[in-house]
Amino acid sequence: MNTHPFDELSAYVDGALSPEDATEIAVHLAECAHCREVVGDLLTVRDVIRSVSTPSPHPAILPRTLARLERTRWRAAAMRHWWIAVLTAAAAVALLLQLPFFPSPGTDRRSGAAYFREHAELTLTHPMVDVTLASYLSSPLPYGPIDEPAGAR
Amino acid sequence: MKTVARAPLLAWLLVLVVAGGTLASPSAAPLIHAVQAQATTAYRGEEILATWHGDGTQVTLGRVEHDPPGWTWLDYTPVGSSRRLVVLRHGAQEIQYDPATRTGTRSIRLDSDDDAFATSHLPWLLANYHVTATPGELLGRRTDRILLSPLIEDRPARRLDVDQQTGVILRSERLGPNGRLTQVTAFVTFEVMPQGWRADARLPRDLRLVDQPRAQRVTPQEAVRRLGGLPVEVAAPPGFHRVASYLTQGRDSALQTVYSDGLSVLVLSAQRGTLARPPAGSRVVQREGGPLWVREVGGHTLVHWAYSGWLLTMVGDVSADGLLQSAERTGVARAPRLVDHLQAWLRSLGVPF
Repeated sequence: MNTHPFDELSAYVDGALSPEDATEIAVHLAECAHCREVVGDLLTVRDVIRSVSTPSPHPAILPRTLARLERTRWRAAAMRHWWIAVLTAAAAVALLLQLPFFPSPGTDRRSGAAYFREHAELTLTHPMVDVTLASYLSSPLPYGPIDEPAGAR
Repeated sequence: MKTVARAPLLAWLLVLVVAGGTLASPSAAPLIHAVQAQATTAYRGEEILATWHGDGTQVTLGRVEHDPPGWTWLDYTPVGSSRRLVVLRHGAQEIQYDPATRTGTRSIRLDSDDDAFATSHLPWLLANYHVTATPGELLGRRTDRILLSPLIEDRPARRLDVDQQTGVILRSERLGPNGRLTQVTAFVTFEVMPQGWRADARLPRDLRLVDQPRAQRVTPQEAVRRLGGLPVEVAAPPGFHRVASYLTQGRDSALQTVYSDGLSVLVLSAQRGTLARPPAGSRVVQREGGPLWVREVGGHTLVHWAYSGWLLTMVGDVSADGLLQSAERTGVARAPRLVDHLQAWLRSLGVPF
């Protein structure tokens, strides 16, 4: 090995090389003081790093993180369900508004009587209607027109 | 029934019409005599009215004094009521009051157009009815018994006993399908009186009367102006012709159009609106175009429906089928939907929609 294997020295220190590559580096180190110096530096740095204590994570961080992930997933699902519900409700209302809805006849009998009375009154304008009872009762209202209070029309 | 002064005019019209050969049958002459008699013959009598319909028989007795042109007095108990009622026609006024409480209503009488009978109504009548006349006798008086049989089966037949001397109709019968008697109006006592025999008659004192708003006759131009347009053209039952239009006063103006087949009257009421407001007691009938509401009272039929922005009600002496067909030919709006109710409600609140 004529050149310095700087790129592989770090792996050599870490023991990450194959046995063949590691043997080759070791042979080179026996002959090269410069590379031995580099390896020494690397070992020093490694020892310094190892001497620094690694803080352990807070015991609650995992469940908290998992809970947060769960909430995020639930919110996304809830939003999806909410939109489905809104769209379904809108469709239901649109369909409901199109339903036929028959008005019921009024319960106030005067509204029906009024039409028959108007008919009876206008019948009086017909020349063939004689002047007497038939004029008033030709439309035989079951309830006399006068039974209605004045102004009820 | 306007004035005696019209009688000669009517008589001339009769002569002209008969001379012109318009009258296919001389049996129509007593009809003209009957119309003429209303403005010329003074009489008094008692009259009975009986009706037969689904609820059974109803009978009313009334007393009549008639002294044209200024005075007609009628005292009777309305069908289905226990209260007596007096109707007075004095000049152009018509007063209806309860003699027990002396309260009632006063209105301006709508005129009939007697002059139009010979020229318009009689030709219609002869086109729609088969008229036969036979001699008869009633209350010891000689009569012309006239049978008016409809050529279209959706309306009743009539049988009239017309007094030969005066022209007063002494008895009138309405015959439903299959010749069934549905109504009779008949004098039980009858006395011809000298003209002017009630000339000194005065209205009773101390009456408490409420003025009744009445319909006002309008031309089509006035109707357009007041209603912002004319109602849809209604396909009246066959044989009916438009006679006149009246506009009712009040918040919801309605245009009443009167149609005649020469004998009976059909009234169409038209009001702006899209949502049917069915009258009390009516039943819904589903047809292809949409729903209609029908009510029958004593042989008279009411049909109510909506079409093209108008609410229409037709009342007449025509069968329910006859009126329903007429409504269908006119056009029927589809069944109202919930959204229509919602829109109507919003409009009622003043929300433009």
